[in-house]
Amino acid sequence: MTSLDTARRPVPRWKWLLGGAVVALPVLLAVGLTRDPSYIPSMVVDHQVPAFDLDALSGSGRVSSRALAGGPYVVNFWASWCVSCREEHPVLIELGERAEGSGAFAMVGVNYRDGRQAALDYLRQHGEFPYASGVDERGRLGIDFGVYGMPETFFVDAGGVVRARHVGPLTREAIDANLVLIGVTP
Amino acid sequence: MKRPAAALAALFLLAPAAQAASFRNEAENEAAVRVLSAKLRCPVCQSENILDSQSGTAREMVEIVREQLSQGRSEDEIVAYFRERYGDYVMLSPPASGFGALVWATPLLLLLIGGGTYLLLVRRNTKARAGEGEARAPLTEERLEGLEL
Repeated sequence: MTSLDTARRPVPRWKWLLGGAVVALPVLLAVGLTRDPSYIPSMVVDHQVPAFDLDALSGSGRVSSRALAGGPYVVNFWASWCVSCREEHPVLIELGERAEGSGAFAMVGVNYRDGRQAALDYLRQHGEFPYASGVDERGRLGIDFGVYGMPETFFVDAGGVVRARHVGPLTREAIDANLVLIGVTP
Repeated sequence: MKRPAAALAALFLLAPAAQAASFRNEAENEAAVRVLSAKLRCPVCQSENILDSQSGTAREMVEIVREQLSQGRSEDEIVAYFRERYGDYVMLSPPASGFGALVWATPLLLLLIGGGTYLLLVRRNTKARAGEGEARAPLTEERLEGLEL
């Protein structure tokens, strides 16, 4: 009877814990494998937009956060050397025209670590944006925004708080989803 | 006539010393730049530090480290500057606080659990062996009854 008694004895709690840990660890590691290791969570989302005051790419004007304050706006980082920027180019032109037409939000570009001539040639070839771009020649503003891949787009609300960041080519779906976050209804 | 000459001589004699001091400061600063840059992860190229990385963003980040060190900012302040922008991601070794603390503690915890289990099994085995002497006793009538076959 003694051997049967030991089999019926309740399993001690530490064994449950140990068993749980043995199962949980591989599960945790497996979940980790499904995540994109190159994705960096944004630090500026839900924070005040980094201040900027850049030379405009064309003309002698400036592109500054002060001039944009008070209304929602979209900041798009782009470069002529960036291949996937070409993919979103028509979408950006469309969005710029929408900003201009509706007046509900503004839009600016930031030409990131590029040559001025290369950037101008790129716009001539792919189409001019209906909005101004500032020149971030050394990429300091990009670092302030925590940019790690081109293109990246930030959505800033009327209070100057960044509400969303989109990494990679913009899509119409992403635009609609993110514009709502800065108080712009489609 | 004598005074200006002496002043000029002093200037010529002291200038190299001042220059050497500035070179030494520069070298020290550059060493600090390298040490700190090796701890910061390049956001563009993922598993490289910004010192080794050839990417433009990493080069610019090293330049920021250099600038801020020469402005007298501390290593912690500079790390905080980059963490504000890129989060814990920018640190090659996770910080020993928050979620990072868990990362550091996990191997230690696993070692404790493993070691504990090993010791427990060894102890149980020793106990079982101690009981073996009894089991090897000659099979008498009483023992046979006790076994409940």
